Amino acid sequence: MRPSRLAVLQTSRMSATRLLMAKAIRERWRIEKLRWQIDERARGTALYRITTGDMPFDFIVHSFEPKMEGRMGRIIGRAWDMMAALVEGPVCEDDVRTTGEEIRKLYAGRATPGTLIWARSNRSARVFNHTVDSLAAGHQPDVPTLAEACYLMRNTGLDGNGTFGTRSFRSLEDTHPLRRPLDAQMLSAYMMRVFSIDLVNHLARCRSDKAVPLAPEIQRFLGVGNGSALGLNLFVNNHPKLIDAWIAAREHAIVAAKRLPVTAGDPRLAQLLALIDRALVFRRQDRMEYERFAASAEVAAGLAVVREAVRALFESGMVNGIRPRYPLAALADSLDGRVHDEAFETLMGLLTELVPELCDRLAEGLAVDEEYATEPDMSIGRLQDIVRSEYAWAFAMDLDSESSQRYVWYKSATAEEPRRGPRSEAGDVFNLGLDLPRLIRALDSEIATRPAAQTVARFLLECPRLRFIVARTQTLSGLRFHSPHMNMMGEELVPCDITRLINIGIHGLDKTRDYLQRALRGVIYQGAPTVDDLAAGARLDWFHPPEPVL
Amino acid sequence: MTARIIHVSVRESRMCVDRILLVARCLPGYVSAVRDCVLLSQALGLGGFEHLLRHYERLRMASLEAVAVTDDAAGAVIDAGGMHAWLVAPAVADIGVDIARRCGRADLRVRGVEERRELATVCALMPRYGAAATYRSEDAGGATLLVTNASPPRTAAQWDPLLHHAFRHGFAVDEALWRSVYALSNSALAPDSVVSRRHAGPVILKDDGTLFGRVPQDDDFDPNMLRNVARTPQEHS
Repeated sequence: MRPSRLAVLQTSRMSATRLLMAKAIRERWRIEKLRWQIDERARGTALYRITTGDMPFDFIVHSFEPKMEGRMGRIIGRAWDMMAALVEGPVCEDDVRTTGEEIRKLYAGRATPGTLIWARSNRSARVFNHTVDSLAAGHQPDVPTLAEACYLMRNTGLDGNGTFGTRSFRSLEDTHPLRRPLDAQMLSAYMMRVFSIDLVNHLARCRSDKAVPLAPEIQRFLGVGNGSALGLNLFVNNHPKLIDAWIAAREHAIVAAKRLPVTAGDPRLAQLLALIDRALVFRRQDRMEYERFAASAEVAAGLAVVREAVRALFESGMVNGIRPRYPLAALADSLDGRVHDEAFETLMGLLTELVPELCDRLAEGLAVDEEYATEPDMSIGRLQDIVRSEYAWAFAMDLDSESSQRYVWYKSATAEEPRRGPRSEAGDVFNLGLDLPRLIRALDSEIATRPAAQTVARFLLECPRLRFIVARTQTLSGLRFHSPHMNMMGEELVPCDITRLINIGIHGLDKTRDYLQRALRGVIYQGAPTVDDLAAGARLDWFHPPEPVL
Repeated sequence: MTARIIHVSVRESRMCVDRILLVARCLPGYVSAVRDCVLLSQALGLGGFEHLLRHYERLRMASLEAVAVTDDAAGAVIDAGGMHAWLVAPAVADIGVDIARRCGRADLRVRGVEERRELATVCALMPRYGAAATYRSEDAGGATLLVTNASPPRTAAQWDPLLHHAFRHGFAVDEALWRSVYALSNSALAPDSVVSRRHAGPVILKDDGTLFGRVPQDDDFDPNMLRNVARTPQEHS
């Protein structure tokens, strides 16, 4: 659970984008454009309907002409090119109008009943403009230019789960199509992509009678951009049960895949080989620059080694000359440490594609509450046993040096932006970061001065400041993956390691590169089916697309 | 004019109440426990958000040293030392459950508590522990809580029925009251500044006006957003 290790986990069949797309493909979700009242300057309203079979959803889009003033890829920005709402449908005219009025107020606005998500996004100006210019001129955009960003519009905010009056996800019915964690956000992200494609086609048509539509191959190649930052570190603080459930489910799927009884020529090995080939090309063609994280060329080199090992297994049924009982487990063991961690984790992620039904079943168990409760009659001796056995890592950390306590986490009055700064600069702010190792040590120290038989109820009467950490520790006891082993207040923490765990592993983003080790940019749904593909029945292995050749 | 009622989500409520309790200088490690009492108070039709708004300054606390617990054969006598009921309710619940687990029931007589009727929130906390409680106010100014053991909760609805209901339906609140709660909670947020804006984002604007860090190539941004701090409310312009 070290942050640097969590940062290298790669996308898998358990990632939210893959889970949602699999469901949409399996159930043949239909997406219709019911209204398009957008002018030649991109101003106006659009309305989409997503028919899932069980329930329709409407995606209400309010589109704006881009402007530079107040534009910024952070939540403190004040200019967006599109604001939208994902609402349980069908919506009425009043819903469309009210959403348009309220969504512009943002933090002072209230969502209409049945709203799941408020979303907003901005264009990647260069790629967007290049695409419109090209289409208007009657030809497709230049692939190398597109590949610099890999999207037309970038998500700058997906708010739901009670925010602004949206529906709490815990209130969603058992039959609700978007009841799994992150499904509603990921559907909104997909709809951003749909809108961005419709918008470039529309603007090109407005400009020229000779305009051509964006080719389906390019539509698939383009995803939707994403910017994430410090807030996901606080998300991890506040969702330990979800983090545990997701990592445990992913591990479960990997172990199940490793236990598959594959032999030479097994079609599952052929499938794995094909997936690795695609991942290899995807990495070789990646044009992004990474700072903290490995260059794709390095990962590709590792994948080439992985490919050879899988090929040998496919052809001979053996790993290093031995016919093991669990060949894929032996294969993984033989590669662990031999190739770059991201290449190894790519293999782990691809293994889960061999057990898709299991992943879908596991996904149904990801919806967990995040409530804590004390166990008042537990002895503090027992509590100390838990602390010492489950949090040994917290006792091995430097928590005394100046650098280990230099930072504070807080939110700004403007847009409630999560920030992390030196205490000396931040001033008198309320720390919002979870100082887990210090809380654990403080708890241990206080317990040590009291009789082991004292109950938690009496202990907390004397130490109410420790009530939260006691409840958290008792509630999470026995879970293995709930909290990264990190000191959030220290200089050594690299925040984007945690952001990357969420963005890549859980959300399923590609090409996530860091900026100043605290902000991440990435791409969602690169390679995903188009609206037409979904209706026609798309392939499940849509990810890691090669650059299109037209 | 008729007040407009809005339905505020559990998430929004928790966020705002937490922030107000921080502003009130409640112990940070005790905030979530007190917050739960505020939300249960709202759900029970007691003081709730309105009471919080009027009296949040009384929720300042550094310890529970003022609280004295005297065990007896029936349970315990708890002198709250003049503290607000929301501050002592979590501790009263813990003590009641602790005694009931060992003795089968706990008869708690609570004295010296401010806003005594808010102790009814203790009863609402009990299902979380697999316990039940009844509340009775006494003429002398105190209250009695009888805590008994019950089946452990197996579902979210059993764990906290009021919270479960609130997750589905929100808390019905007068909009003007909620706006006041929200405004007060915002005082827990840090005032913005040029220096503070360096504490997030892909680039940093240095004192000499140059940028530190590589600018994302897919991004267009208004550098004035880093040079000046907008005074206007956050709204799409």
